[in-house]
Amino acid sequence: MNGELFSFKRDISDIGPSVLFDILGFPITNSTLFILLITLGLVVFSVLVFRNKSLVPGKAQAFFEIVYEAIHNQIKTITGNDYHTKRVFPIIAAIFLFVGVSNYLGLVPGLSSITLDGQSLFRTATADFNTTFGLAFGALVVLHLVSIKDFGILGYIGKYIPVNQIKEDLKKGVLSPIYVFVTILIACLDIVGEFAKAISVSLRLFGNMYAGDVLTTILISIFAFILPSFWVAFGLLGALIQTIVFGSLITVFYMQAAGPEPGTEGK
Amino acid sequence: MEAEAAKYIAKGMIILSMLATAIGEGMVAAKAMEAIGRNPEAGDSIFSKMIVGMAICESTAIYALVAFFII
Amino acid sequence: MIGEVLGKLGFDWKVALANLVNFLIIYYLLRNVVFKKLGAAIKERQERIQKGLDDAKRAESALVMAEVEKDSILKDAHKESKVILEDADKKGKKIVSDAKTLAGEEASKIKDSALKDIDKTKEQTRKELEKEYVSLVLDGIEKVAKGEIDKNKSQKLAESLLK
Repeated sequence: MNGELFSFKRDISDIGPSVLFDILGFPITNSTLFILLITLGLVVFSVLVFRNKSLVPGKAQAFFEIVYEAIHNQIKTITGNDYHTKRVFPIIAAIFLFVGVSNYLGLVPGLSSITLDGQSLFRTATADFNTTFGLAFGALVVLHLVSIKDFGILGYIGKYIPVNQIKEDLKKGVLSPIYVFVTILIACLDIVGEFAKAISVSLRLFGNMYAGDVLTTILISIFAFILPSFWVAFGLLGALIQTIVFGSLITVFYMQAAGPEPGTEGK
Repeated sequence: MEAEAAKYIAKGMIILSMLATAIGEGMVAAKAMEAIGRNPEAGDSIFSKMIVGMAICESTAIYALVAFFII
Repeated sequence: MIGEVLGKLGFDWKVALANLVNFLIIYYLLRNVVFKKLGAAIKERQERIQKGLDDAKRAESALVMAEVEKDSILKDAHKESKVILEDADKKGKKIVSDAKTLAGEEASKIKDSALKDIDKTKEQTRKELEKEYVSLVLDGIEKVAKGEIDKNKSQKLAESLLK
């Protein structure tokens, strides 16, 4: 049997996106184009669905309402109350939808085969570390702003530099320098942990999606016809799970950062 | 031994870290399923907590992945 | 150092910024168009369903109330009709008895007047007959006195007089 008949050797895609052209010094990469494609799709969808909005929804609107409700329920099981759900819903739902659409669009066969000058024109946005890190970093910046708004500047700093704890430690006599040292060490760990959050969350999504891409390529180069379909089928599940993980983790970080619901502070 | 060969050996060893990650995630999922079996009404809540727990377990694999690419 | 590490993963802050900005465009589109309209549509439908349910509940309670009212009205009507029937019965009996007594009185009155009338006519005829008898007797006497009377003639006379 001729091995080349049933297998297609392809280069494993680069770990980073490839730059297509520059605008004012900002490189436009294939993952950026992918995001623009999603934006375009979103605009077309909005026009088509909401042009004739009716009380009895059409198929597309009904599907989107199901998705909307599912995301709402997912956020609510984590936040546990209506106030936080309503507050955080738009940004978390946007992340959910963006990551989900990007993951699923990345599974569409042939989309990454459109090439220009030997570089593929579209790259799955979530299989690009820039996108996931930008997303996680932006989300965490927003969460820290929310935290400052809820606790005030001093309360926010006090969360990371435990002044009261150090004061208590100083009263502990001979061993107090050790206690203070440990407390400061833990505080440093907390601060590092905040950065680690952004990196670990974005790397998780990127790693899963990129590994999916790489594994598909490898499987196709081994045996192109039946073998990869199982992996792609698993990818359908993985895309959903990674979406839920990313959105849920951002929600959990939000719950750690945000203050209690106003009016219930005394309880 | 050439430097290149040592690099590949190191990458192979890093991949072994996924073994522990898989075991850990499997334990999380197993315990979560047990809990859901015992109390099916709390299924939704347990599921989202399980996802978060698994994600934190997976961090180890993520660090391994980073190391894999850095080396 | 961290930049170097991330750079090996293909990280470039310019690309990251561009992708983040693109995501923010998507976010604003979603928030200001899709979520708003979807949320409004879902809320509107839920409100309408809730309203329909409320209406149905209200109609049901109204129905129950109407049923109760109907029952009470029917009961009242039954009572009233009974009273009216009894009343009518009484009145009817009274009217009948009144009519009976009245009719009896009238009848006796009519009888009396009829008897009186009969007496009167009797008297009158008697008086007239007396007058006639007197003139007959006078005629007879006159004829006898003129001697024109024999046996036959007297017979005839008597017959003609009696006629």
